[in-house]
Amino acid sequence: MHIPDGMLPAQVCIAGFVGTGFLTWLSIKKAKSSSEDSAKLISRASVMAAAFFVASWIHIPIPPVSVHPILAGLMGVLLGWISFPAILVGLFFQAVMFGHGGFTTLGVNALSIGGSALLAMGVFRLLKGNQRTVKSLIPGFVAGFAGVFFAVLFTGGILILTIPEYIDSAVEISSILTFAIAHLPLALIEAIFTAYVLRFMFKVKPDLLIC
Amino acid sequence: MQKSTTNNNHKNAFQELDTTLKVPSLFFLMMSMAFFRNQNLMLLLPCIAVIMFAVSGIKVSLLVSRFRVPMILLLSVSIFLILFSQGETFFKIGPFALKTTGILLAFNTILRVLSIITIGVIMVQTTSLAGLSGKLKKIMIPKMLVDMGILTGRYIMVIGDDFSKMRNARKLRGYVTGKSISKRLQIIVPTVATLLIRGFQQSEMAFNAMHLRGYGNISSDTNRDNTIKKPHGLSLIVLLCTLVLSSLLIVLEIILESA
Repeated sequence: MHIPDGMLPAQVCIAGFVGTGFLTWLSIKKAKSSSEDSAKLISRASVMAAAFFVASWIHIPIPPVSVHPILAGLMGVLLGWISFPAILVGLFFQAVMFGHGGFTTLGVNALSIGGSALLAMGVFRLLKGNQRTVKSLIPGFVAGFAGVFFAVLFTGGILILTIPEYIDSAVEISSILTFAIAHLPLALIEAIFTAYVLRFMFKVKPDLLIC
Repeated sequence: MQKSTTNNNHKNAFQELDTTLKVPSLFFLMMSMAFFRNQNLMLLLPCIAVIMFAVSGIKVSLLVSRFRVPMILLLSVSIFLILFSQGETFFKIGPFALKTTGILLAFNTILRVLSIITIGVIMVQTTSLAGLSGKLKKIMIPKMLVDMGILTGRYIMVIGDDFSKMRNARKLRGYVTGKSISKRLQIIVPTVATLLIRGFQQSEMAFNAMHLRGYGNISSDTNRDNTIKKPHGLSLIVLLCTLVLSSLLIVLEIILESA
């Protein structure tokens, strides 16, 4: 899911940084304008960023490969707008500590995963409606699925549309579809994971939603 | 800088360079390498990376370990390029036709990716994360983001340790992790959820305690390290070379592209 350094042209990397800069500014502005205390926002976002980092240590086998949770959906639901900067920080640490992702592609990766978290937040809020807490598994399931699916579509699309210069457009489209379908098991696992984690958390601490 | 990752104990040219000068210049070099697409001169990139790596004194084993993670995606993209590029066929294996253009593209992609990762490793391994936070505030990175970075850095190890402890405790109590996904989820879901709830409560207290101890205080931040150390000797040469090479790659690419 993470695009490493050198895979994308500099122009795409710069565009990624511009987009990430804008979304970070917007997220921080939205978070500051919310009624939540900034210490609470920063501390929760930091814990989730650390969890996002640690999640890459959890291996779930999907033969013939093994995948790890991304937590984009869960972060979007629990952190709201502040999930975008939290993912940006998590990605930075992943690049620094074990070369997962990259520095030149940090903007694009943040747009892919962080953008998906924001979309997952939107989907969750839409399904949740005006309820303060959620008992059904469906909103969490859909948000978890959306968090992975949008990230896969974005990453696959960027990779396949920007790297090869001599590739047939029909092959490009079918490759994006294949890439997305190959990630469906991961999206389903993450959807189930997100739904059950959210149900557990809302049962224990119902006032978890912020922003 | 993690001294154990270098071959010698004395500071090398990269470690001597001030973070405010080193990080942007090495990042500029990485971006120029990403911009450089000329296939005939692609060997320039690994040459630059190898020389800079030699100067950095970082252990080769560490660099090799950093290549492992991106290698899966890199190989997948390379196979995709070799099989699906247009142009003349170089070799046929059963139903697969390996294309000449694809092989060249894949080779160049591998060279570029490995070169940029090498520069990234030099940047990270010769820079102190603790020193970086103060410098980030100076270059207009929002305070909220920097604070988040500092707290995340502290919590990565805490959460990692807590997660291992809770997993082991569950195993000792008889909750054996099966090989099936549902069995694993049954163990992982309550562990992760409990960990997050506890983390939220603890982190808020930790953040407030940091502020009470003076973190974020303007006077203490400005007293810390406000000046940029001027480079001299070998570190000055390294800095100039980095900037010249970065600019050269961009100019070369523009000239060769328009020719």
